[in-house]
Amino acid sequence: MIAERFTRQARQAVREAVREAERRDADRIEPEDLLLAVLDTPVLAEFGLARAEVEAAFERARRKGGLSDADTEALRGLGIDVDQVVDSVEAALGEGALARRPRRGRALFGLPFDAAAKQALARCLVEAKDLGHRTLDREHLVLALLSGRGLVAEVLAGLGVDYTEVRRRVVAAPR
Amino acid sequence: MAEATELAVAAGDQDPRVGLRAVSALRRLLEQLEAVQVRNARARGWSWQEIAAELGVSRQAVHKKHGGSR
Repeated sequence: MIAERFTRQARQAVREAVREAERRDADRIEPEDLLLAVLDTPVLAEFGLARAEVEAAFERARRKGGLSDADTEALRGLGIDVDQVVDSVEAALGEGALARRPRRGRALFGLPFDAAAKQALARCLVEAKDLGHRTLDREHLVLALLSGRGLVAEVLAGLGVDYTEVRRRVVAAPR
Repeated sequence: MAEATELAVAAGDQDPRVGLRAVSALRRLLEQLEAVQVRNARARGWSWQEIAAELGVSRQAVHKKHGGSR
């Protein structure tokens, strides 16, 4: 069982991700929640990211139906102004209309992880193995999140944090 | 100068990554728009049949895709 190899801190981080999702009244736990839960991990904290800035970037993407700034730029190249699309939809259907639907009532068995978040959790194992580490810690989760092609990797890349650099620091860190 | 910029833009457009990225983003935007519009139609009392007709798909398809939570 993979779960048994997670360190106490890594488990705490996963629980914190659940709380992040609950705080924003989401119907599932996303990679963005996991990232916010490991933002204080030393290897990531070194970059001095402002939590508010990261949260704002995720929020901006959610409002655009999950599209990142790079997606927005790509669509602009096609002649589609995503901000204008969002404005039109929100004018007709209310603010945050394109953001995912908030959950209805309380989930019976807790919030589920979405596919990408599950994939990130599974990817921890690969990251740890590649590094020759026997336990799964928060830095493996950080690497797993950065190795994906989703919003997390993109937002962090925009803030100067990428997989290669973080991995270099994980390798260099005493363990 | 302006010419160089134009060339750069044109070259960039030939990069498959740029085009594919736009397609991927457009698809995700479309999915989100569809979900929002279907939700709104349901909230206004539209039947799955009526929604399906507007979307140009079968009633089963639209129900299977959007009917999960109700």
